[in-house]
Amino acid sequence: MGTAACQRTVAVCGKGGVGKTSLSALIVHELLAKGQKVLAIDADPALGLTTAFGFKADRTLNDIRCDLIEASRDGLRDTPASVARMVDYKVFEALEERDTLAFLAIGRPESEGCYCAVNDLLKRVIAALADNFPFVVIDGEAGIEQVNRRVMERVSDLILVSDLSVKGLRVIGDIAAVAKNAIDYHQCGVVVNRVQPDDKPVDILPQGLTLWCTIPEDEVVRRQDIDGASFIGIPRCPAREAVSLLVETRLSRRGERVVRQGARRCR
Amino acid sequence: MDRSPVSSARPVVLASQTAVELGGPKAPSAAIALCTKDRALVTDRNLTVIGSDIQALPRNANAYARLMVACLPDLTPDTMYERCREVELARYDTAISGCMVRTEPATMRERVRFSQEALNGGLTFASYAAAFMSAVAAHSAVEAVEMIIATDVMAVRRLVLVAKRVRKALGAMNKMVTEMRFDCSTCDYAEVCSTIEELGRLREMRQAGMAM
Repeated sequence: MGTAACQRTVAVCGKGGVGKTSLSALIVHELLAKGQKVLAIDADPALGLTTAFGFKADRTLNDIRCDLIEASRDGLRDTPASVARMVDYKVFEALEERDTLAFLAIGRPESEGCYCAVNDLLKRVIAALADNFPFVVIDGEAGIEQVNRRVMERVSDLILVSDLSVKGLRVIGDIAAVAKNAIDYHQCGVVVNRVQPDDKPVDILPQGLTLWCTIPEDEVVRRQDIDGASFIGIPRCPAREAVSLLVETRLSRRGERVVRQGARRCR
Repeated sequence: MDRSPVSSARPVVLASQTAVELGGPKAPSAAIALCTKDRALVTDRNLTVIGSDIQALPRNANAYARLMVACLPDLTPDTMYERCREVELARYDTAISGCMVRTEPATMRERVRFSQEALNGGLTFASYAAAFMSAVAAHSAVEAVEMIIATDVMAVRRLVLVAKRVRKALGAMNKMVTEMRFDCSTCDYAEVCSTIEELGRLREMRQAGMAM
């Protein structure tokens, strides 16, 4: 079962609203089309990837966390050690699946405040489950928090997504700076999303970052988002073609060889 | 061939990889751990299978019950919860190659998937149960452990009824611990209250505490 030798954990990070979820969904779609077994993790409390695959997220990692807290509160008390032993199994309760795709959603704490606890649980889940899958794709929450808290420390491929806005590019620069110390990644690259035909070429990336590809603004993807339609079976379109090429050149084993033969790493 | 199935990783078996599933959503299922001080009641490392073994089962809709019986000589009212909990938690220390176990403690159900790869490797209930029993036996308080697995639907249904009664008793005890009301006329658990020794003990402790 284990596939640790060639296991890839891909995290998609960036500013809110730049298309992280669409890119994550398209990456997963391409990997599934290649017959891969994929674990997709919706690490964004907004649950966008959940909608993108038509899952319901009736049970999330946060629900499991709440149950464990509740169990430790009742009269028949569980110690922190026994709770820790149960977590890896309990997480199966939140696993949804379709063919070779398994899916987990992080959910959101009901109360205001810190996400540390649920992020810690996510980190543990990634560690426990990743070796079962050749590919794990994580749709990260907006910003740098999950990177900063080392939730993504097992990530092998860090994809920084931005549109052409200064804010978007600045955020991926910040994420890259934090990731240098927080993630032991194998490769890191930038995907610029929603590029219009008359946009200027991308030549203003934050220092040290490599452009992996651009993805054109695409009416098919836009409609998927608006309609809340599943990305499973999305028709061929320019954005899908671009992501297919990204997966082939950067995330497949062949792509890995290309990178190792001399392409720059971003750290 | 029946090789050791213990895995270092926590296996995930998706539906598309599953050769046999036990205790799925539409099948009766029960997982019960029993503890006793009476060594004569437990035949150490013995497995009893009621029904067909894994290799002879169809892919889906298989009834499933798993009973773990452990002998713990030093069970006392003070140690009972901790000791029994250790036996119950041992299943979380067990990872078996090509086998994914989903537990539902709230309903005392257990759902198990075996991959085709595991079946091709010769996995049977004997090797599966041996891994579970080893995990329980690793606890220093356990003197002997025995396992019963049922896939015969009639046997499983009878065990599911036992699990339901246990669940109701646990619910009653939890209520005693968490609530201070003792109005038997409105209590959902009145019918089982008088039959459960531990419940009576908890009630007495509560009432003694209230009186103080």
